[in-house]
Amino acid sequence: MANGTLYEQRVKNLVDATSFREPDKVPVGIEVIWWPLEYAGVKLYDVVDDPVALTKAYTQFLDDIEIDYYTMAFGLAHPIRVYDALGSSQYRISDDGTTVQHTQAELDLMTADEYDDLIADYQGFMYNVMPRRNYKALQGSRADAYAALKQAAVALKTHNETNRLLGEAIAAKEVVPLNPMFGWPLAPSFFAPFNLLFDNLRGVKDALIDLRRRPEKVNAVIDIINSRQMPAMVSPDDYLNMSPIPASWTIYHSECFLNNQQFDELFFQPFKKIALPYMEKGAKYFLKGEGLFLNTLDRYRELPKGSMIIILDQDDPFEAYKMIGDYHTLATGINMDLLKTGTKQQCIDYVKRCFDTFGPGGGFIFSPQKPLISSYDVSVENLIAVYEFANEYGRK
Amino acid sequence: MNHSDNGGETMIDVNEITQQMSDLDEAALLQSLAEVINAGPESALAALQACQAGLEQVGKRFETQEYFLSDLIYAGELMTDAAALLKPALAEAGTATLGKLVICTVKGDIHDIGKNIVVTMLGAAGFDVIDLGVDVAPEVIVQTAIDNDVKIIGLSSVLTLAVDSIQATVDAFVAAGLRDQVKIIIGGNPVSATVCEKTGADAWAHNPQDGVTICRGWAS
Repeated sequence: MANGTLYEQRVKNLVDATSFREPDKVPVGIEVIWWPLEYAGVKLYDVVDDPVALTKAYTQFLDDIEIDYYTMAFGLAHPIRVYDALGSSQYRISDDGTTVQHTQAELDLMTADEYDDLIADYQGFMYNVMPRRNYKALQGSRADAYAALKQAAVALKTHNETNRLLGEAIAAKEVVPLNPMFGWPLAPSFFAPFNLLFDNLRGVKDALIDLRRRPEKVNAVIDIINSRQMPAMVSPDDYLNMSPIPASWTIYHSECFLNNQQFDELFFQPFKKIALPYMEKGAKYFLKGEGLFLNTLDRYRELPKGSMIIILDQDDPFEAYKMIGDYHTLATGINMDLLKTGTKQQCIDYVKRCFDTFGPGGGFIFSPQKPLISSYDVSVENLIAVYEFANEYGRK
Repeated sequence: MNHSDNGGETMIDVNEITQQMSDLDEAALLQSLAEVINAGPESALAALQACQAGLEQVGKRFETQEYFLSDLIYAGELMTDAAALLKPALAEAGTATLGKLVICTVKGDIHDIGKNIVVTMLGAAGFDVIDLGVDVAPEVIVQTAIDNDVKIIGLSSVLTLAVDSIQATVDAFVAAGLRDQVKIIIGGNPVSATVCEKTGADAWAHNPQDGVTICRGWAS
């Protein structure tokens, strides 16, 4: 962790803003995925094997766009060369040469008949059956599979080195990781076990149908996953002496598909059970939502005030504010549609309206509602204008 | 299930079937349909139409936020299964569909989850769905529409880089002289009223129920 005055000021502003005290400056943040490479005019496949060059390109936008914090881990999410080595095409570089796409269409998913196999031998199924099914390089001889795994390990090492350099670069800018995900003594994060079935094993449609047709099987798998969770790194009492920023985290994946009963059973009650003891001692949790999820927000009033930082996605932030804005922090401020197709003045007017509505009394940090993924996501002119405005207008 | 003998075929209680579909009561629905299969083709047709009426009720319950996406997806599955169960008995009756519809994820985008959900729901709603898959070039979409006399085109995308492909597809229909003969609906993460207007599509939707409702309106 950097120990500069600017970093400490930024942490204080984040703590104040998320604790419903007006900060000296409304924290301004961003989440980026592949867009920074487009900003630098660099194609991913030209730099993916060169951590230094990739880092230099990826961080170039920070010279022009000032941020106080970043959401999610600042680094590359998908080690594409690892997937190449294993013979999987579920992650592919798009035609723009920069954006990595993911598809479930390439996955050979688990069938409904295989639940019993998974339950009987979870580790064997996850580490032997599914990898062999989905990675072509593991389907041949043991020697070939071993060679592919070695190649994948080397590729992973390069990927990790890139992320290490990216972490150093962002730390040098004294930008606060709102949610670093790794390497920080956090309250336990929460990712609903059902999402393993939803994302990786059964796919979206079949996992949701399984909730109706074979709930006992789904619950058995969830129980197994829960039994394999790592113990918490810190105890709730540790939070009495810790800064709540960086925050711990949780994410919606299947959650915006679930009905209320399913949401409560699969997400909210388990999340509350894990998080509440820490929240009662001062911990904060960052929720990254996907899709539309206003219907889930009322529940968060069961948790201590100020314990959640909620980043919206498709929902109207003004509607979200009416529901929960007096109780938990909203991370919002501009939507991608405006950033892409609006005029500069329309963007600034919208951002101003967000600051004026959500800012008084704290409980607001600025963020675009979606991550910047690909080259087409935003007008750079609009983006720079928005961040110049947000950084200035949010000061006391 | 209530029956009354109507001379030829045994009458079925369509209201009960509609309610079972609306309530997503799979066990009761399948039992009702199993009784219908032997009742004759007209009964099978009535049962199919009752299921579709139940599906419409599911849509309404979704709009009021009683149901959510997982319920819509399950309903689509139930409808698909119901149609398959009744198919042998329907052969004599003949069933009208809402017509053909082409759907795909556009060129440059390989995401398919949302598209696949919509495919299930459109099929359940009564469309003959031609699913072209992902990363589909504009000319393929146009040719498929020509070859199959399709009037409704559904274009799906997740990434903003695919918006240009949506535009290219609409332009391809213009170039082929077919633009005024088809309706184009766009869906997915990057679409909005602005994108719809900019690309020249006819409609847009973020949730599958809205998409089905729009397509059903065009078909009628």
